[in-house]
Amino acid sequence: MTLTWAWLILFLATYPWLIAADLLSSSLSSWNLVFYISGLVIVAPCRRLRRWQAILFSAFIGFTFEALRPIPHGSLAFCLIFLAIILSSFPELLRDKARLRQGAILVNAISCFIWYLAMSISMREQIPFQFSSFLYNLTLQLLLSATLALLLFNTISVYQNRVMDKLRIP
Amino acid sequence: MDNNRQGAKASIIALIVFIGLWIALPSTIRRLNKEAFSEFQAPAIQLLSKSRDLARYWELRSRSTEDLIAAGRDLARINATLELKLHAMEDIRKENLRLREMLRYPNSTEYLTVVARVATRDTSTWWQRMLIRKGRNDGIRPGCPVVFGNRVVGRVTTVHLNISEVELVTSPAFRCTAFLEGDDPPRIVHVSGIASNPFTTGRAKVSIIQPDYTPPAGQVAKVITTGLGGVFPAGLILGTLEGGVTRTAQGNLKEAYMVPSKNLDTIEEVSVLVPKYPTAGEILMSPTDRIKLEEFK
Repeated sequence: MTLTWAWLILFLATYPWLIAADLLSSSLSSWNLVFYISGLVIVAPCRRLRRWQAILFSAFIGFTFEALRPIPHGSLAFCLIFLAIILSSFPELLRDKARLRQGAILVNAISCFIWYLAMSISMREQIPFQFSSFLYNLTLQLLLSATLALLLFNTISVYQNRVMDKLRIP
Repeated sequence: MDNNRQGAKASIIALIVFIGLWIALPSTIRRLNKEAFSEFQAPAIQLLSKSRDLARYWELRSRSTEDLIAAGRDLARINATLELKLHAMEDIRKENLRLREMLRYPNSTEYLTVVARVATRDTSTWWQRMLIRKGRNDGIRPGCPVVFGNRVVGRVTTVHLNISEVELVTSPAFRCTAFLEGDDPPRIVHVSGIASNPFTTGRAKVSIIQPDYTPPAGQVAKVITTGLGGVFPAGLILGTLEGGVTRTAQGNLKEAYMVPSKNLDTIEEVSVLVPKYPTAGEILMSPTDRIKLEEFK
């Protein structure tokens, strides 16, 4: 039972981190930036979970982020699923700590870019597109996402690994 | 390793097929999925917001008795003033009703007020929103205006069981008609939220200002709702003009920026104005109400 539902238990265990990031975004709402960590939380589990479990875990993480935001539904979830497939299929990409951290930064930044892009496409009729403004805002959002991944990855991965140890995931 | 790669290939193909299916699926299923994840998060958001309120409560409990006595005294004075105003208002209301009856003027939309605490705020370039701790169970409906006193905060976009999503006046998707203070006779202008850059205050754009309009001297011009769109009652303050009124590139009209009248980053409580009777838009959208209307006719 435990191994089959491990991804769900791990998702529930990871959820407080996601809500903490949302609270941080809320407290610093005048920054107009989203404290995004949904990408980095899938990296450590993808190393140990089976592929199908990693896919479900990532899908739940993605849909949770999208649920209360006007992001085109599915854009982030499918991006995270794709990244989870890559990460769980090529474990050599995450063979040591340094690689894991790099992976977390990349996954967080790529998935952040995807929802940002999806949002800009869905809003194209309401906001006149200005490339310089788009690039400036996107750069700041990506920098924040990458910084968060760099700062929080160790703590979150240690926590997630401990949960996975308790669940006896190999 | 080869098995892994083959598995990855198969998974990616399956993902592409699934994305295709997802796009082809009826929107109801996608909406259901979104609703399920929203409802999953609602209790946690409520709990966190309530714990924040509790912390504030204990912080207030630690205030000295002298502070509380002083606050009580101030409140009593304000209450006395407001009571006098209330009496005057009652007379005006009665006169208003009498005049309306004489002229057979249609009654304006009546609203029920639902007070709600702000649970979280969520802002980015693309959206400026807040979650409030009241939802469908409290009678809130999508499209309801959200105010603080006589100042507009935004509009309810999505309603869940116990929480609702509110789009702020500065959100890029927000649209509204308004009058400008000092414009005599009042002419309609258009207010729309704009994409805001990080570390800047959210603003909205006021466009279609007539070229002969000049803001009143010595004061910031208020932007006031018209009541024509069917969402906001007339006379509410949307915000104030900021940085003067400039001509558009074509030169035939003017435009300006508007800052919200209330700081939306610190607001803790709002009122949702729920129309007592279904609005025209709701009647058109809801088949059951349409049938009722037909029966009424």
